[in-house]
Amino acid sequence: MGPVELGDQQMVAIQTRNLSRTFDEVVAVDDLDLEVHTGEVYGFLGPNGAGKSTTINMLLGFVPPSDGSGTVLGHDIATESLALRRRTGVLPEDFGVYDRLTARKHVEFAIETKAADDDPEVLLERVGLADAIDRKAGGFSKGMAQRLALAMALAGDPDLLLLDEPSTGLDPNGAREMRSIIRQEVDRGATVFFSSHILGQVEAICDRVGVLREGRLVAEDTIEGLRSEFDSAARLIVTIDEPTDDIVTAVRSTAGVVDVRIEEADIVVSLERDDRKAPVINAIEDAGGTITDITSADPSLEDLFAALTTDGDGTDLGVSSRNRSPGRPRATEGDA
Amino acid sequence: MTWLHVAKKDFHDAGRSRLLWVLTALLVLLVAGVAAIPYVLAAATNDPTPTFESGLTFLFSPIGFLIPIIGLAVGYRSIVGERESGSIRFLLGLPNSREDVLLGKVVGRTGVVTVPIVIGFAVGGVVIAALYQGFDGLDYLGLLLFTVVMGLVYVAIAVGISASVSTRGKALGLVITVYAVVDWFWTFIPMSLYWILERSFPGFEDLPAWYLLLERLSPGQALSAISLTLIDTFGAGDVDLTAAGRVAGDVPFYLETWFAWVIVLGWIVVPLAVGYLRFRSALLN
Repeated sequence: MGPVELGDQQMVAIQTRNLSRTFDEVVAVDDLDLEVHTGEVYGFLGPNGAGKSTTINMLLGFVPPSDGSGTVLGHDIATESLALRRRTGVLPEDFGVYDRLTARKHVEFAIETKAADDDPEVLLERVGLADAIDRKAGGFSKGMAQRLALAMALAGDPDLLLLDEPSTGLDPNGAREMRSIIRQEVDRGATVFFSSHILGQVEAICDRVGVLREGRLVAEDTIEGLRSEFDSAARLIVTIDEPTDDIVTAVRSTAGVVDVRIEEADIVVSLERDDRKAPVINAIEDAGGTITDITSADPSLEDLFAALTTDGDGTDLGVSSRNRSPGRPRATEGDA
Repeated sequence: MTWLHVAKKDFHDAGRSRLLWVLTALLVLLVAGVAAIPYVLAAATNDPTPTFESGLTFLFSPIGFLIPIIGLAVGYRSIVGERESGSIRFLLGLPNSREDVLLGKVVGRTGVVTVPIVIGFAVGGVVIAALYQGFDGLDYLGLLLFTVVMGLVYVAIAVGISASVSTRGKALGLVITVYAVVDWFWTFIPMSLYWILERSFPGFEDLPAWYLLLERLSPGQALSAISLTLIDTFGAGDVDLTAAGRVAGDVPFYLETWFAWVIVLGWIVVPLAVGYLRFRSALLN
């Protein structure tokens, strides 16, 4: 059974429809519609606890959905789990190795189970474990275990790689090697779907990203798409002594203004371009406003990610970056 | 069907544990050591050298005591241990079904129990052949086969339990409970019923068929019954240990020996079926 064909002839590697999962009344994944195209690298982003692993667990049949459905490589996740796992390489999250088995035995097990004919040594060399092939995995560091799991995922040249937080425990060098292997796999024709809570890891390699927050997909686009959307939405936050409707009307009618909102003493102005700030300030002063502070929000993609995955309703791109210096990366690891 | 790979992996993994070597040493000591006791006793009292049959019979009860404990100990962590360590994500991320995992575990762990049994019997066989008159290879193989079947029964019970629960502690608690009920308290069930109905305690013979059936439903008793078919020697004694000699009246079909095989099979299949049903719907997150 081949991948599902869409109307626009684009092939779909992963597709979910209203996929949902609730644990004891806590919604982990909420009405998720994902579409990962064949041959692309899809970054599945979100803070810890956003529902990324639950989604992957549902795709793999570890956890059945509470509602909704999905296909992976054209196979239904509920009824054809075995068939989809035959063609998928999995790097799971929170896995444990078999302490008493060597790296070679681990990879052999994956190769045999997949009925493939790879050479375990070649796979282990590829992930940088050449000198640990016959060592017991019980003594491996987290990074080595991660490499071992990747070697197992690569067995049998899978059509899809499902990698759950693949960079966990890897140093920058290891993360770079991981990216290089992902690129090789895509060049071979594989589709790669991987989750991460750090945008920096996916920016360089993803064709598209989906951003998950509290179980919902709050954005899905190419990196360029997200960036351009964000650039067009440059923000100006002007603090004045007393915002009035006249001032808002004046700002709204200024050329280049996309949107105006009042937040307490602030007037939050969305602009088409960066160079439209001066006319806005003139308009406010002409309308009788006394300006006490001006903040220009010109954030990076990191800020976009932070905005999407923390406060606000997920569409409020500029405001959360206001109180920080523009472009400063924001720690998202503790946001679970 | 990838259960064979799971079994092989599991055998390699569990087989590299110290447990296997402890078990092997224990079984060598048991088979060689215990079987030598009648000889040593006879030598000490200047009695004539005992027969092979007495050595084998002497061996029977420690096997019946030790193998259930070994089988349960080897099996109870088989699946829940992988759930706790997270290695089950490898197992089930690869194209293994949950049936494959269960079947592979039973086969792998039975292998883990079988290896020390075979080694123990090989070493013990030399000792027994040297000490006793009339070594009967077929009977000895029968006892070996019987021991492996017994190991399989208790491994299946333990793997079924291991598949049913989410923590090692629960598995251990259940295994101990089942062991106590099945191997220690079971005989009190027919006995109590008999007392309630008859206001007296049952003897050894002239028992109602239901009493013997209840007794035989325990894995230990069912295994004892099939041991009579596997080891000729055991059926040759003066006292008829089989149901035929103990039941009042005709022997119903469920007390015939073939039905004991059905009960033994039940003790393999039912725990695994229960474990499978629980494991199938288990959330692995």
